[in-house]
Amino acid sequence: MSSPEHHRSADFGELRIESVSKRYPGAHRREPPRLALESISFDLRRGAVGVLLGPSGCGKSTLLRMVAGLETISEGRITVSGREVTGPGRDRGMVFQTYTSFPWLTVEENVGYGLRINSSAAGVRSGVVDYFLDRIGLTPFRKAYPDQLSGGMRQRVAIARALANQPDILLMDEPFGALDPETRWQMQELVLGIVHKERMTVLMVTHDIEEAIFMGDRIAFFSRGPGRLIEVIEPTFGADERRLDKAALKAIPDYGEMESRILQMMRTEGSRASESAV
Amino acid sequence: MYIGRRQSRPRAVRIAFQRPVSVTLRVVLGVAAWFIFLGIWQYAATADLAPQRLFPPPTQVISALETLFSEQNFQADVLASLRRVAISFALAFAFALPLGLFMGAFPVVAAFFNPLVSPFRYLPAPAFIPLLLMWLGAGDTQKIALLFLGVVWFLVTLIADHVRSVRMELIETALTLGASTRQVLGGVVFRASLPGLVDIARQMLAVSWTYLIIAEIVAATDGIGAMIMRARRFVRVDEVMAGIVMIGILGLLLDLLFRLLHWKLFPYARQRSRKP
Repeated sequence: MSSPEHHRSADFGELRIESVSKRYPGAHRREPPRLALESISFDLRRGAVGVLLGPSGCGKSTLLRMVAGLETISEGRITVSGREVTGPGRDRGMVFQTYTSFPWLTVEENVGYGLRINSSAAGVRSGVVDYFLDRIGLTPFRKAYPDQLSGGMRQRVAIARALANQPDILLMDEPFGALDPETRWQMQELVLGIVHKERMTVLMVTHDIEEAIFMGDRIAFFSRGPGRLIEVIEPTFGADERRLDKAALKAIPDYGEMESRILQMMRTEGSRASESAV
Repeated sequence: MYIGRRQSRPRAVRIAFQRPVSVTLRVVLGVAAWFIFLGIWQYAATADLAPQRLFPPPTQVISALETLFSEQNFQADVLASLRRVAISFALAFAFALPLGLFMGAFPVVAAFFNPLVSPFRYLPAPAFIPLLLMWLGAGDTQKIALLFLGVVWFLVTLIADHVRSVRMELIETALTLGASTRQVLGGVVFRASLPGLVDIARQMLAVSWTYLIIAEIVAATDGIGAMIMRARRFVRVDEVMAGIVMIGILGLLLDLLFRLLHWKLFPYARQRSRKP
């Protein structure tokens, strides 16, 4: 990548979440505040892929949005590359589940948007844009408008746009949730390939166990009501070949074991939460 | 790149719920409707159902329109009317755009202005004519002020509502790419609402035309409305109708102009608007 490494600090790309809580005020004055996330701590070193996994309503998206600076932090602190998060910024690129390509910009203009508003020189910009268009395989579609693309292509544009802006960390909120299984699989491999090459730190939310094990170096498993981090799972089996492709991953015996264990945790969480609701 | 879903050929039954109509059929039906309408009018006018002086056939209205242009300098009236609409609408839009943009983008701004703007919409602009006559006299300023009042509050509300509908994810995406508040407002919120703003302008321009005639019927010496009132005094029904036809033609042309503008300015929105 074209960005120089020398001015980067030693903790570049490191994520630190320290005892973070999220409280929502009650709907009216008498109602006590609702605790959505309780004292979450989680770290990622540079280049690691962190996955936030858990039943719906466990606050995993809220935590991701807090890292992005799109939600306020009630207690605790979050740092990225040693800098405390106080609001959204270009050091934390975000990919949403819904399509967020700017419809009035072509594919290449979308990818170059972050660089343009941060006033990068046009020469540098076009080099970076070309590089990422090539990485996501959309060079032939560079002049097309997002509405002319399929869902998977649009999500690739969103990922390339976030990466081209050269963030310290890439945040993704169920980025492949709206895609069909075949496309989702291709996208997971594509993103892992790019991310490892760039040594990009990634924090992503998913509810897909297979996706979590395939992508994640560290999987944070959440319970709900209030959201708590109950276990950090590190899929160490298979090391390198795990990353080759999904078929190879599924052939590893440990994979099946881990998948069923997480599935069990999901089920327990789901039933526990529905019991407590009664 | 984009391959639209092609409809199968229409079968014998053409009337079905939600069935799209081919371009050819649409043109044929549209032209047919006009022919039938004009045919009935021509027949009714020439069949002596009413005195022809009070109910002239379309052919006579068209020749009256020609005479107006060739002998009575009608183009000066048309230009005067167009000028009033253009000036008042430009002023109203220039006032409503920043206000609507800020109200739509920032709920706190809307909370301040909405209680003020919403009731204003229910005040009928023609009710202000006596006031405006006293304040501004019978000249152009008064007419432009009336046209301004007729559309400005609707414009503010429509623009604010439209700007508010810009998807939050687009705004948040720009923020996480490092955009400043100003960049988000201009580069995303305004840019995303732009096609809709052109549509709003097109629709409210039609409202402006209706107020134009009201403004020109009251104490005007030139303009299409003034010509209509002159013709009424001499019971020249054909000229009155010619004036109405002229207003219709101008409205239609302006509408087409704005559609063309929309088509030219927003190539990315074409696919969507083409879908039935």
